[in-house]
Parts: sequence; C-alpha cells; structure tokens
Amino acid sequence: MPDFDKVSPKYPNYLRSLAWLNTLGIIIALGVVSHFASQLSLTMAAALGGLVVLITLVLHFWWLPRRYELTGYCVDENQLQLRKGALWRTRQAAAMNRIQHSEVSQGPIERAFGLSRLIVYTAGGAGADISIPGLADSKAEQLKALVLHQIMTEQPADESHD
Amino acid sequence: MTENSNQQWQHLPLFALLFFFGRALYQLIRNAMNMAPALAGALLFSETVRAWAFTLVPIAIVLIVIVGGALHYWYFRYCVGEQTIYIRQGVFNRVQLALEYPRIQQAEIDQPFYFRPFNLAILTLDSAGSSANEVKLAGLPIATATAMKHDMLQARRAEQNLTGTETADASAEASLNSNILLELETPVHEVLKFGVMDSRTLLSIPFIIALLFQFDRSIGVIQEWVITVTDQLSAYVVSSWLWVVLAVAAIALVLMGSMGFALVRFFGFKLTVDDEKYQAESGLVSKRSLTIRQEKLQLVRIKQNFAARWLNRYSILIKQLQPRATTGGVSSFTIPVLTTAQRQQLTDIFSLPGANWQRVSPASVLLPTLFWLAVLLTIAGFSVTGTLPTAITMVAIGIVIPLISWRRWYCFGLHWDNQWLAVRTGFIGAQQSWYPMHKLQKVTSSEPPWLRWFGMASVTVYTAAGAEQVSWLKKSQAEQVQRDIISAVSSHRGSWM
Repeated sequence: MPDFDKVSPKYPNYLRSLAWLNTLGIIIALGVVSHFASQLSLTMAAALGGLVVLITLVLHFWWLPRRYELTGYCVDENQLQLRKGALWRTRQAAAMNRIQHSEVSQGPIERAFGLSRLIVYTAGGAGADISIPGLADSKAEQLKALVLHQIMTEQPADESHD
Repeated sequence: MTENSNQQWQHLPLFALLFFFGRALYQLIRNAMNMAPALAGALLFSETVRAWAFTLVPIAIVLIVIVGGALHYWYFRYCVGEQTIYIRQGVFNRVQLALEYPRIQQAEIDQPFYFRPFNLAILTLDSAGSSANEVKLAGLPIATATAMKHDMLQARRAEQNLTGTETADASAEASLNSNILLELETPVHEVLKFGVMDSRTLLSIPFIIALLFQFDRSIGVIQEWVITVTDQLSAYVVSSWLWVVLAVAAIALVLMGSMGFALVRFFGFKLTVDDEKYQAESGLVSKRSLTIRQEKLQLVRIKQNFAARWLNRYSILIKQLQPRATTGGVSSFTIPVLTTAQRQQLTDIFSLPGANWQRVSPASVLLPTLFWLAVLLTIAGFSVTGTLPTAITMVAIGIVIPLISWRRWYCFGLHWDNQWLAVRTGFIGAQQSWYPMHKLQKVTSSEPPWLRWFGMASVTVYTAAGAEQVSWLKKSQAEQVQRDIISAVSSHRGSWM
C-alpha cells in the first residue's frame, strides 16, 4: 500500500471559504427573490437561509476536516495516485507511462490562498484525468516537474506516432 | 515537389464527378437544414420570396450541385511521389498537403454503389496527429487504389522495422508475404441469421405486439371483414386466431426487414487476419472495408444474445482507437455470425486466455431488489384498491425481481491477468468485453456510502474506447485489481497508441 502525502494545510481553509461564499450567494439570491416575488415570503426565505447555514455549519465542522484528512496523493516512478472524498471515497490511479501531459491550474480563490491544482491527463477520454487539489503553488510546480521527468525517462525511444 | 519532377499533378478520373456532385448535394442539404428556420420564416412572411422561391431555388440547387461539384472536382489534383502523396484542393480556400506514406494511419477502400459497376473505388487516407487530415481520392480504379493502399502499408511497416538491423527494403520484402492466420467468409445463409440475432430487431418485437394491442379496434374492423368473407367459420374461432395470425405476420415482417438490413450490411463478409492486422470487408450495395492494426486494438467484445444462443452462433465486435474523433470515422467492425469453432479460432488468434471469472459479492442482489420492491409497493399503494388479480401480480413481480437480480449477479464475472481485463455480463445471453491490459489509462476504486457500509467498493477502468465499471467487489479485491492493473501497465514497454 503506498504512503499518501497530505495536501497543503491551507486546503481546508480554502474549502471553507468556498462553502461560505456559496452560502452567501444562496442567501443573497433568496433575499432578492423574496423581495420581488410575492410567492416567497420573508419568513420562508429566512427559514430556507437558516437551513442552508445549518448545512454549511455541518460541512464546516464535520465534513471538511474529514475531507482534508482523506485527501492525499502519491507519486512514484511507476504511478500517480490520488485519494479523496469523505463520504464518497475514491482512489484514482494512473500508470506513469500512460500520462499524456500535465498542467497546473489555479482559480481566483485558490490564488488568494496560494493554492494550485495539478491536473494530469491520460488518453482515456472523459473522466480519465486526475486532478490533485489543494497543493501549495511551489509544491504543484515541483510535482509537475517530477511527473514530467518520470514521463521523459519512461517513454521508449520510438515516438513516431505524435 | 522537386524530387518528383517527373510526376505531374493529376486529376481524378472523370467518374469521380459523381462523388463530387454527391458531396455537394450532401453539403447543401446539411447547410439547408441548419438554415431551415430562417428559410421557413422568409417563405412564410414574404410574398416576393415565395414568388421567386419556386423558380430560383431549383436553379440554385442545380447550379450549386453541378457547378460547385465540377469546380471542386477541377481543383482537386493529386500527385504520387516516391513515399509521399501530394494533394491540392479547394475552390476558394486552396489547401495543399503532403501525406507521407509512413505517417498515414489509416488507408481504407470503399466501393459505393455508383462506382461498383465501373470497378472504381474511394481511397480514404487519414494521417492522425494534432493536425489530423482526411483525404478522399474518389473514382480510382480498384486496382490502383489497392496498389496505393498496399504501398502505404508497406512504407509504414518498413518505417516501424527500421530500428532493427534489417533494411527497409528487406523488411518490406519480408512482410510482402505477411503470414495469413485466418480467412473467414460468411455465406449468405449465415448472414441472414444475423437478421434474427440483431438485438435491435429482438427489442422491437415486444414493442410491435404492444402496438397491436393498441390497435384492438382496427383488428375489430378486420375481424368483421373476415367474418363476412368466411361466414361459415364461427366468430369465436376467427377472433381468437386472427390476433395470433396478425402478430405472427408482424413479427415475420420485422424479421424479414432485419434480414434485409443484415444482407445490405454484411453481404459477402470476409475477415482476413494476418500477423499484423485484422481486415473486414462487406456490403451489398456499397462495399466497405476496415483494417485494424493489432497494436491499435482497444476492445474485443464477444456477444451472444438469446436468439444467437438458440441458433448457436456468436458475434464479435472489434474496436480500435478512433483515428479521428471529429469526423466520426468508423473505428470498429462487427464479425456478424460465428460458429463455436470459429469463435474459438478467433479467441486463439487474440490469445484470449481461459478466463478465471470472479463473481462480485452476492450482496449486490439485495439493494436493487429492495429498491424495485419499494418502487412497486409505492405504485401499488397509490393505484390499487386491493383486488385479487393485482395482488397476485404484485406477488409474482416480487418473486421475479429478485430472480432477475440474482440471475444478473450469477452471470456477471470479472477476470484479469497480465494481458487482459475482461468483464462478462448476461441474463439469458452473454457478453464478454476484453480489454488489453496495457491500453488501460486510469483505474479508480470508489466507495460510495452504501458500498462502504457493506465493506465493498467499485472499480472503474478507463480506456480510449470507453470506461467499464464493476461494482460490489470486496474492498481488498478492488485494491488488488487496482494494484495489478497499475503494475501490469507500468511494466509494459512498447507502443500503446
């Protein structure tokens, strides 16, 4: 069984801000709808908003720490693995010699936390890429370089196809 | 072009005009369909457009098809060099390209019906890669097309063998006598069997019977007519038999239609396997051939549905990596009808091992059963007033659903070794999908909450020919599959694209 490295400790904070930003968006939307549409009374909107906040609190205190604990990756000379999911646990693996290319991507909120994700593509079509979230910027670049290095040493000399 | 100064740019044979007219018409229809709403709007609201439409539109169509087709024909030139074919095409946008023989991924010969009487063919060339190009050389004499295709395959082979000590010439020489492993021709009476085995036909039969029920009233009308014609028969006999006769007639009609389709598609089916490639050709009206090189093989699917089982026949689907996804190029072929012995021959050629099928957990029967029973009970709760027949139906369904789930579980199997990963599914018939291990791109094991509760997991493998999911494996079993796949793939050295 491979040893999994944890992602950056900033990752749960990023997930938390994402959750609360979504909550804020939903509450604003509820407010706007109840202001303009008579079908949704203010009490109703407040109740729905309360429910959303409750769900976010559960996510904040129960789900996110677990998600962080269980998110991990492992890169060696043969393979790349990603483990994630608190409720719906998955473990994705791709052999190094099947990796087509890799990229580092970063959204605006991720940038605020100094986080990036490493995406590794295989030729397997939809769903066949592996995306490692919550990596510190420098770590993502380092991993990308490592993957690139592994691919270069893996590939046989004959590269006539593409 | 300088090295080929002795070669001249050539036109395609004049017969190719047929192809260009056809293509112009096809493109016109496709564009017209895209613009249909706008055209319909203009027709509806403008009197002048209506007045002009009926005179101008036919003229425009003729102009576009004839003149457009002829111009495209005229500007299409090709030139065959030593190891390269040069092509110039386009009326307004001139495109010139050079396809080097060793780079040509796919060379296929088609014989559409309008070329067949003249022994002409279309040679379709595809060079994969980031700037994929597909070129159709239409109206070539079949001998020329075959020779060109042969040269291209030779060049590719020679290039692949160049790394060894052999010279290109020597290896080309050697592969001239490439070793034919199997030649299989399907006679007409066997092709007709595919009409019966075609699952689309089989699926349509219950639908037709249901439709007949809907037309109960029209049956009543026919019944009256039959009674007046044959009034010596008792009305009872007529009414009970007429329905059966109609149903049988409808099914017979569907089967005949399906056999007709099978003939059009698979007439003269011929499979040739040598030590490098699988080649299939067939077709009644238009002849189509497809070659799949061994290293491109992505999937072998052996199928036998219940009709095929009754006829003791199999069919096999062979899939390769799509040479070019955007054009929807054919990337698979079906060997329609195989006897048990022929199937065995083919599995030997693919070197499919005797499978060691592993079942998933029997717990997989439980959840679907509970789910469908819950659905049924809900429906029953809403709709039934507690009559005896409905109660009996409910009980019967309550027995049938677990039986179906159990049977599906019983037929399901997973096999993996160093070379292949295979999944077997079935109910009455059976289907085996074999994936070459080294083509697997990614493997995921996942534990949704309901599986985790049972200590189970599911595994999904991704190939370029699609994904395959296996649920209800023991967690340790799932981890084992994942480990074995990654270790087999990462230790595989050699071409896999």
